[in-house]
Amino acid sequence: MSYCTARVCGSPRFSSASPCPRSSLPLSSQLQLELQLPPRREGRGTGRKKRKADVVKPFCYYCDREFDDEKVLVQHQKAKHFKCHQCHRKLDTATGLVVHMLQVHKETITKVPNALDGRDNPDVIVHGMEGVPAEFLHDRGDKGGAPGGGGAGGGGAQPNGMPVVPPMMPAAVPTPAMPSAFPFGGAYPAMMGGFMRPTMPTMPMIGAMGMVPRLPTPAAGMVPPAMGAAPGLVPPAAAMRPGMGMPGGLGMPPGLTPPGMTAPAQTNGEAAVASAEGGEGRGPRWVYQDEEISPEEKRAQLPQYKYAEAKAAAAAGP
Amino acid sequence: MADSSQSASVEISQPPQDAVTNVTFAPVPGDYSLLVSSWDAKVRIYDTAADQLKGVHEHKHAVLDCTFLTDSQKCVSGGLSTKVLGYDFVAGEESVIGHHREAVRVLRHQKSTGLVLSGSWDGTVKAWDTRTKTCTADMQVDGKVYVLDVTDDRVVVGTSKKQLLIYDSRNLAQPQTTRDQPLKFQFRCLRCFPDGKGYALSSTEGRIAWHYFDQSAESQANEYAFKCHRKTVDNVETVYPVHALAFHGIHGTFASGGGDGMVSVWDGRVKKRLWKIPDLKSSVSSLSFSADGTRLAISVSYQWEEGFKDDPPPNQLIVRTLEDVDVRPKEATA
Repeated sequence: MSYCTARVCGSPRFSSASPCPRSSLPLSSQLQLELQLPPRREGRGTGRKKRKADVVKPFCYYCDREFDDEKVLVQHQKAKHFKCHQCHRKLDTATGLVVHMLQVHKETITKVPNALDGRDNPDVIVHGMEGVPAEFLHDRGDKGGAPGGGGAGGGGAQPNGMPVVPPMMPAAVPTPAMPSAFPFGGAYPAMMGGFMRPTMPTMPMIGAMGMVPRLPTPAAGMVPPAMGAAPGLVPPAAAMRPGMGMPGGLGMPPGLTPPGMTAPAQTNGEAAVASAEGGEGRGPRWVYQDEEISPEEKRAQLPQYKYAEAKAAAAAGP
Repeated sequence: MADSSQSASVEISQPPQDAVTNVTFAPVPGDYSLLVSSWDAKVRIYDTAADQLKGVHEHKHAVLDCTFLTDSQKCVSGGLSTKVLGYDFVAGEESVIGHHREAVRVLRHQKSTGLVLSGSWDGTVKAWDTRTKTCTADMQVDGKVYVLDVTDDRVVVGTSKKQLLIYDSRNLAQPQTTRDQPLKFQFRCLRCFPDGKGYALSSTEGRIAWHYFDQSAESQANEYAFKCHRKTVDNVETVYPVHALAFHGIHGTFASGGGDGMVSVWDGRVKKRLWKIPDLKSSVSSLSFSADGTRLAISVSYQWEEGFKDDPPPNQLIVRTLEDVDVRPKEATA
C-alpha cells in the first residue's frame, strides 16, 4: 500500500506515478512536492519515521504545530486562531476574524489569537497551508531535507551556527519525530477539550525510539509521555527546532542549558520549578508535586498563622 | 482567547486580605449572598448584587472552609483553630459546635439530614447536629481528610492516602464502598453531581475524574478521567492542580478552576468543554454557582503551589453573570 506523498492528504495512492486523487494541492503544497525525495513506501509503520525527513508536513503557520492532515490543520486553525472569543463563531481566516470582531462586536484586534510572536499579524492571509509565506516553507523544507548523516537522526546537527549542545544533553535534544509520531488526525478532539478516552490506542512511538535515545522524562512511569500530552498540546520539537525561520530563533538563547537541568525533579516542588525554569524541560512539569502533604498544610506552618499554638490548645482543650 | 464577553464579570470591591479558601453562594434561589472564608481568619458575607460586605465572623485562626446552613443567615466554618464554629449573621452570635484534634479542612451541610460534616487533618470525619451541638457520628479514616462532599443519601470522603470512602448517610459507621486511587495524585476537590448519581474529583495533577456511585458495569463503563488545567510555559508542558470544582445545580454542567488561573465549564456527560475564562491573575481557589444558576463566583488567590512568595498577586472575588446558554449542556443547545 502506498500513500500520497504530498502528506497533506495522506490518502492511499492508486499508482505511484499518478497524482494523488485527493489532494488538489494549492500552490504552496507544490513546493512540498518538489522537496520530497522519490517515494519509497513500504508499510506505514516502518516508513513513518523516514518519510518525516523527506517532506514538509502540513503545519500551522500561527503556532507551528504539525499535522498529518491538512483538513485537521484547517480545523485547528479555525478553533484556535480564527475563533471569536466572544461568540465562539469560527471564521475562515484571520482577516475574517478581524472583520467579524469589528462589525459584530466593535472590537479591534491586532493579533491573531494564540499565535507565536512575529506570526500574529492578522493581515497575513493563511488558510491551512495556503498563504504561508515562502520563507517559512523553505526553512522547513531545508530542515526536513537536510541529509541526516548516519544515525544523527534526532534533528540532525545544529545548523545556523546554533551553539553546540553540551555533551550531557544529546539525549534531550528535541526530536522532530516526536510530535508527528502522534498518529491520528483524530488526536485533534482530544486536544481541543483535553479529554482522553481510556481506550486510546498505544502510540507507535517505536519508530522514534529506534532513532533517538529514550528521553529522560521525569516520572515516565507515572504518566506515559506519549499519551498525547506533549504531542497533543504542543509540538515541543517543532517549536524548539532552530533555524526554522522563526525571527529571533524563539526562546533558544545561546547557552540556555544550565547544567544538571535534566535531572528529573521528583521530590519537591522547588526542585521541579528550578528544573523547568530552564525552558528545556522534557515531559511535563508538575507545579505541585508533594503527595503526602497539601499546600494548605505547608502554609499553615507559617508562624503568622499560629497553627502549632491552636493545635496545642486543642490537645489541652475541653 | 480572552473570554471576557459582554456578560458581566464584577469584581467585589472589598476582598479578603489574605488568600481565599472557599466561596459559597446562599442555597436559596434569588439570594446572591456569598460566604467567603480566608486565611486572614475571617468569614465574610457579601451581598454580591449590591457589592456590599454584609457581615464578618472573626476567627482567631485561618479559616479553611465554610458552608451555609439552610439559608444565608447561618453558617458553619472551621480551619486551623481545630474548631467547628457556627455563626448567625443576623444575631451576630458565634457558637462552638465541636472540635477536632487538628485543623478542620472541609465542611459540608447535608440538606436531607440537616447535619454538618467536617473533615479534618486528624483523620476523622464528624457529623454534627448544629442545634444541639452534638457529634452524631465520628468516622475514623486512614490518612488526613482532604476532600469531602455530600448528596442527599451519601457522604463521600477523600484522604491523603488517595482513598475514597463512600458512606451511606443512614449508616455512617462503615463506608459502603472504598475506592483506592481513583486518581493517582493528591486530591484537591470533590463535588457530587446535583442528581446525586456520582461525583467529580480533581487532583494536583491537572486531572478530573468523573465517577458514578452505581457499581453496575453499565455505569462503570461511563466513568473516565481527563486532563485539564495544563499549559505550555516556555516550551514545557506545565501541569497545574485543579483546586476547585462546582456543579451547576440545574443543568448538571460543572466548572473547574486551577492553578493556571483558568476556569473551564464542562459538560461531563458528553465530555465537552463549553467555555473557559483564561488568564486570571492567580490560582482559582474556589468556585460556586448561585442556587438559581445565574451567577458564578470565582475566588482568585495564590494557593501556595510553589511555596512561600513574598509578593503574591492580590486576592480577588469575581462574580460572573451567566446566560442560560453558557451552562446548558451541549446536546440541548444543538
